[in-house]
Amino acid sequence: MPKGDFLAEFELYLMLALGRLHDDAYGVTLRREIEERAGRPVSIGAVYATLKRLEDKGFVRHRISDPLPVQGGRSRKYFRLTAEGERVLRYSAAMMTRMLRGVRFNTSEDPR
Amino acid sequence: MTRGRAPRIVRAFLRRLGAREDREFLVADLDEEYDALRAAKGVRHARRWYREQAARSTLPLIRSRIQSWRGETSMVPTRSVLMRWVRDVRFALRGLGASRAHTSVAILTLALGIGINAAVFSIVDSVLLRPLPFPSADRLTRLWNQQLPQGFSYEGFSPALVGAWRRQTDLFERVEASTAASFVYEHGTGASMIAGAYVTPELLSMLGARPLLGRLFAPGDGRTGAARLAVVSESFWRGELAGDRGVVSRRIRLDGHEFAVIGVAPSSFRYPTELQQIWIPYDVEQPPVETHAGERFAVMARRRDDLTASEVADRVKARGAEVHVAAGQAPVPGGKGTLTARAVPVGDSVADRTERSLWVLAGAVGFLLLIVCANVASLTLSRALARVRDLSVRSALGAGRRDLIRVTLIEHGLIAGAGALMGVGVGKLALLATSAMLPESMTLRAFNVIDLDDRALLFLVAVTIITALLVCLPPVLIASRTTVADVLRHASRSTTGSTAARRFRSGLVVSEVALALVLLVGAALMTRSLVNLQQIDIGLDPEGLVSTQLAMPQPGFADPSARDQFFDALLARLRAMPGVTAASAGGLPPRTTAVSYGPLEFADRPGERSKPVVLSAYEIWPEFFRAAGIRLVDGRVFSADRTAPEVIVSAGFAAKHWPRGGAVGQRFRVGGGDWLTVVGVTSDVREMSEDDTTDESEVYYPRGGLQNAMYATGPTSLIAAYETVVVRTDRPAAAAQMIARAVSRVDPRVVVARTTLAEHQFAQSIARPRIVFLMMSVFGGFGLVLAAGGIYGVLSCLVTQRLRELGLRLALGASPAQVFRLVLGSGLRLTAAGLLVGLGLALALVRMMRSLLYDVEATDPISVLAVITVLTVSAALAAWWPARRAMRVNPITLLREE
Repeated sequence: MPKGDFLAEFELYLMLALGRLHDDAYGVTLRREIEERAGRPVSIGAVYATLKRLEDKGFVRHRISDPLPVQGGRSRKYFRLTAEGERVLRYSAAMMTRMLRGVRFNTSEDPR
Repeated sequence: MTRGRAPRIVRAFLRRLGAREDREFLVADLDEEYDALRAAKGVRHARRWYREQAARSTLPLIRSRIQSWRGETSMVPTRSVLMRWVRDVRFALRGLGASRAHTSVAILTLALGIGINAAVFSIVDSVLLRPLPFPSADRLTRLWNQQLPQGFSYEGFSPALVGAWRRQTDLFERVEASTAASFVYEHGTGASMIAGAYVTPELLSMLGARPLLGRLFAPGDGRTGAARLAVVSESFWRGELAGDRGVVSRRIRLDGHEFAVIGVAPSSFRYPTELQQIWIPYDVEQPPVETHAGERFAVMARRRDDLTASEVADRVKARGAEVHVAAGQAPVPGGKGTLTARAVPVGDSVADRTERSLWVLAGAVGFLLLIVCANVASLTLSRALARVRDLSVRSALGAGRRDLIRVTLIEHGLIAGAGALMGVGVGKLALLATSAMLPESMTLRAFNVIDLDDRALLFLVAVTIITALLVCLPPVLIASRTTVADVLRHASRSTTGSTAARRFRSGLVVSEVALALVLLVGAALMTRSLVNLQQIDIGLDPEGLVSTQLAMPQPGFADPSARDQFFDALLARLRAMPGVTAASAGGLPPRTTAVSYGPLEFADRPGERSKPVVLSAYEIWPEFFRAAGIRLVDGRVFSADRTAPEVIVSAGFAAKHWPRGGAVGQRFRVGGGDWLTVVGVTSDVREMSEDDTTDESEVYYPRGGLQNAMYATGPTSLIAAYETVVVRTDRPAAAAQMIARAVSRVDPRVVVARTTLAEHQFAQSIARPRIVFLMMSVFGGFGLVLAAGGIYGVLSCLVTQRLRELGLRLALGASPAQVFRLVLGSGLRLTAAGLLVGLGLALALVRMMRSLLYDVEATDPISVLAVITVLTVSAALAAWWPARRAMRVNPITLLREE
């Protein structure tokens, strides 16, 4: 597998979140999802910057929704994984599982 | 919805940062969450969250933009923009290092120009540009007494008069007063005299002073029977009180009394001047009986904010006479004219002359900077032309014009930056040197601290950028216009200049000469006026001169002969005291105590009557001139057995009315009084004051000889007269104490009002003219050297350019002398053009200097001729060497090189 398919940590988080949120993945939900699960503040800027990168790599594509059916309602930019993206995610997850196998931590602390 | 909106500026900022296709969604997403958060946790929480989001988003978004701009998709940019800059800078540094001479000359020249400019800017800034450091400074107004119709004004306000103005509440919110004084400060080992001021209790708070420690004065301080309090300056606190933080309520001895220190004023508070170390409260409504600040308060008022400055000025003028009467001011003796008042906004109180001299200095350094720029530009051009081939090769290899310009800009940015860094040092030094010499009358009126502060540094940065652009853009544009084809065509020849380059250079020489001419004309005019009038001389010797104002109460002293007896006894006592070399009495010029007013008539010119004049008149006791250190330049002092009224006049008066000399023995009278015989002429005593409207002449009368005088601080119901004792001593502090003791011995009813050390009083006047002259001469000298250097540089470069042509001429039969003349001639032609341009410029600009000049016309032909000669000679010398080199060109060698 070529080197470019390695995912940086935040890229991985985003793709995992995309995999979880499916049709409801846009800026707000993605940001919240990662923030809640990772337990650390996540900025909207980082989310968009990373999504753009993932899109450039061809792992993610977007669609723009119709305006929301309320007055002054806005459109949203929804994201989802491409087939290639799913493949890479699966590969990375498998890689992570393989790498974690047999790892013993010296302290018994739960990494939250 | 509007009230709880997300922070607008932050939002706009984020929007700009986001990628074009994302920004609307990004901001909308953020808004959505913001709204939810606001509903749940309130606006403040939501806003904080929003700002945090924005802050955290900045870096990723910028990084993302840079990556997409560079067309990169990988996480780590391979060669960042930063890297490219680092590469360019290193490249530039290598280039600069290769031509070390050029670089160091350029940097040094720039440092000089930039540094001096920054220094002068900070002076101009703090004196003229920055608002006064007082709250509502635009509404602060100074009040003056004005004598009509003569129109001379003076500042002495009696406490009662201050009180009367304070009651004009429809004009002023606050009316506060101060008067400077010197105090004898007794410390453990002895006593010294320090400058201080009596102030009305609320003056300090009106001027926005905040105590560094303790408190400032409050209403009720400085009244009859109140405790003796003092606020000390930061420098006094650090110097004399060892910076003791427990200084509050510590006691210090001033003028023989214990004062409790209640607070320390920060060094930024400087009022009335920077000299003041001690402030003593003085309530004008209930003056403390035992403190006598005298009758010479200066008044600072804050006008109501519903009135304009001119409205207040009009009403003050209309009401002045009334207020004087309300204050119980005795009518003017002789009943001549009316006493009223004048209001002047404090912002205008920077003396016109000071303002003018500062602008002249600023202009001079601006010109200096331009000359510096021209020099560096010419240097740069030489270098750029020498590197034309290098640049052309680069452009042949694919470097665009933009790249070339960028590299050159970086190079000159570096030079200018280094120049600016050194310039900070130069500026600091220049400022140190200047403020050591700059007279307080020029700096203190500003009330702002003069320093290379943020504003000055900002100015410096701006100047540097402008300089860098000025210096490097034209050469770069000219050099980069050279095409590859050009270079190849002239392949082996010394192409060092296109027509554009030559024209640019000639322009540089012309403008350098023109600028130098302006600078030099300014310097020459200043120097000549300095020679014409020894203005440096203040006319008396302030060192060791103590003057004490005495208030002679009405009971016992209403009769002048009683005052004479008192002074005879007092002076005898003082003269016997140790350390006293002379003691006398009479006012200390130029502080006017009395004036005589009226038309002048001269015995040697019968029938001639001058317009009415105001003369400062002083009644003096024997030994006065020796005590005051005023020189007798002609004639003698008063004789003991005089039969006719005698006077001694100042040199200014003598020169004005008997311009051909021989004032001694002449007779004149003022306002139809007795005929007065001039028996002596003294040096003029000058104190640069901002509003001196009296005729700058002193007339001294012997004791009892003054008639028809008007007193600035007239007799009141309590005080019959104010008299001044002057003592010359080598121990001023001790003398001040002795005077007070001697006075109470001779007659305890006489009040010691105020003691002044002449050194304090004259501190402002001593240095002022000197500095302007000095600085102008220094700038002029710099300008001359730089201009000559510039002319030399350009001409020698021109010769290098024309070597082939000159060699050809020689080969074809031109004589060396002809070649020499050719080169010299082209240099002198440029100089002549520069002189012509400069002359026009100078004539237009020196008009600004007119008021700074003494007895010299702004178009003084001698100065202008001298400058033209100096410049022409320097230019000829600068052209001489290149011309000689041209003459010795060997055609054979040249052809061999071909």
